[in-house]
Amino acid sequence: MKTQSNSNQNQLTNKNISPNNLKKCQIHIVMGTGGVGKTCIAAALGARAAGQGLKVLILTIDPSKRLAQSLGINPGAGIVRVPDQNFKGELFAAVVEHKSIFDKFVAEASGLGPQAPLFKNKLYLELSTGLSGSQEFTSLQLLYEARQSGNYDLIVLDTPPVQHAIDFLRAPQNLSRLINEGVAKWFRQAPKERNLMFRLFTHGTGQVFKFVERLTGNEFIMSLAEFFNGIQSWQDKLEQRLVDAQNLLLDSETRFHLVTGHDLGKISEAQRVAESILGESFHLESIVLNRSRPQWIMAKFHTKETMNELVTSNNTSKPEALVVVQDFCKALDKFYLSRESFFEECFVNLGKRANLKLLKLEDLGEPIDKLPSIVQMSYHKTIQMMLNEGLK
Amino acid sequence: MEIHFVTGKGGVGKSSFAISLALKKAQLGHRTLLVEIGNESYFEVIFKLKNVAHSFKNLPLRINYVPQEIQWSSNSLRLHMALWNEIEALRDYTRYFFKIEKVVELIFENKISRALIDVAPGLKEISVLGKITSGVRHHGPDLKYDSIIVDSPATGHFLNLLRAPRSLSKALPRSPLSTQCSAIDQVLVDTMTTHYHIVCLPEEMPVQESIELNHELKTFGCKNIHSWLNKCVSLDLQYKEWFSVYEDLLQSEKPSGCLNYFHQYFSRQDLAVAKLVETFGHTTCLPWCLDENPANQFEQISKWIS
Repeated sequence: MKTQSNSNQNQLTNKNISPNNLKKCQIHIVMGTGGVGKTCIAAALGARAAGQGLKVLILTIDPSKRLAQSLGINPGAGIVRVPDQNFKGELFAAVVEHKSIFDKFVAEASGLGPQAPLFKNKLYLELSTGLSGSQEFTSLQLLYEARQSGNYDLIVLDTPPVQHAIDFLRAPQNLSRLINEGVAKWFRQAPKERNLMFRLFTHGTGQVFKFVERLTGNEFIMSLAEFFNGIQSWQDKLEQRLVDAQNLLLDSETRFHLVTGHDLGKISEAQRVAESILGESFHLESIVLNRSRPQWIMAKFHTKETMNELVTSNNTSKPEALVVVQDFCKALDKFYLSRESFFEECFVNLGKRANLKLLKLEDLGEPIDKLPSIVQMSYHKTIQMMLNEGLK
Repeated sequence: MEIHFVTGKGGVGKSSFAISLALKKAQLGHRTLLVEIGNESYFEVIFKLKNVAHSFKNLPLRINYVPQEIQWSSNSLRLHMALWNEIEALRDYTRYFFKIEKVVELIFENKISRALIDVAPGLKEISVLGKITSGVRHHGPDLKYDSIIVDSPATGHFLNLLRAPRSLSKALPRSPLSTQCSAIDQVLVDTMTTHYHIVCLPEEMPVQESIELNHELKTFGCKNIHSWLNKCVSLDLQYKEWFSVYEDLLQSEKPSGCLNYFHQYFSRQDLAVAKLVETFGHTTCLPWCLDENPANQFEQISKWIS
């Protein structure tokens, strides 16, 4: 009898509901410079989690056409259920469409309809796409909304390909600073045109605007003023969302994975990025050397003995071709090994200090752009370790 | 005077190609400048690596705004290198335009104007392009080089960079700035001076992106677009020869991972070459260098640039 009442007790405390009633949701953010394979890894992480029985969302930035097709993503379609899936859980995917997400956010935050003239305003168009941090903002906006919806157990975010991986993390703060402390704030404080012009030319900063006016013509300043007057309606909400985004990045359920390729310069850079990430209290879970030494190179088919054997047993017409291949394989093996030890050297201290996982994922030899190959990749030990299988 | 922009999908080897191209120009006797854009230098990191420093003489501690000379040890070739970020380029130009240091200080130490610079659409892009093209346009501080190689951002960001002067000159009323923007734009599409190098890998996505980029550049009006295929394998061995060997070996009972890999790699490479030739009319294959010292890699690649 006692046991039964205890078990009833346990059933009442649902571990999934956190104090503010939001379902617990693990977030995995995949970072790294362009071309290292972030998107594939993100897809594999999602597939693995879905295979474990979770309801998962993958947010991609720049998938190849084939991958997008395989995931069922269509521009304008928003979040879709990945077709032809066969997981214990469920897998959804979406591509972060920068412009439409930004416009949607502004439309909602300002109360303006989506057809408002603002969205055709040239300055708005330039700023919404070009403003430093805006692209990162839209992926975080989508992440935030998905998490708040309570629909998912786990979300994977693929980050925009930047020249410097750390830019992604700095974006919310930079954008916020711009809005708060920058010219926007200055313009905001002078809503009337007359006051504005007065202020422009009587303050020290009048000199500045004279300079800009001289370079650009005075209409530019006025349209800039108009623009910033106009953003008053949604700027507070933008600021709030930036704070939300920053909190989300720092949340205990949010883990970062830094992916790198074989370039010596980039591996070095990744080390500094990792230090920054940890220094700023983000939870860095793993560092992954992607497309590393492939399995087949371990096999001894490229040794002299086996090559000779192959040549003699097959009476092949071009033994020199095999020698070329053999030599290349040897050089390739040496190359991979030296990069691996460089990778380990770069991160060994950091790994120990921060309890960080240093992982490798070998070159799988073919593009990962169809669901079966994504699922295949998801069985890889590295993917398991990235997820920490801490889903229990 | 020549200006060479090197771009391509992220991760294809733009920086390696850029320095190899710069080395080639130096070899031809050009006074050459290799420019990186942004706040951090990739080459600075490479030069600091253990086994790389000895390949050079006069290595500077940092790569800065002001060009510095570096020299290859093995062949004594010289290059100038610089890292140009948007704020410094703008400051440089402002100094040139206003001539009075006090005014420059006023503008750049001021929080508001700094924020304005951050926010002004295209301003950062045209600062850098203005600097790059200043020699050709004879406008702005001196820039006396025969060849300027620009290690440019990847495709998407590169297109934004390229388009900024034209869109800004259209958006602005007639003013000194709009005039400069038009002048910069004209240099970008000038057949006599400006070249675009699209670096690619023998893989589907980079090839596709190269093809799309070629289209965008042509539409924009760029001339002199060159295609380069990086990480090519066994350039002495023709694919067809290889394939006949492989077919023999397929009969054997021990299909090898190594041979499969090469077969696939060759197929992809062959396909990439075909697609690039179809789009660009040509492509140049560059070898996959496995030398542990990046400096040697750069030298090897430069030999394949004609």
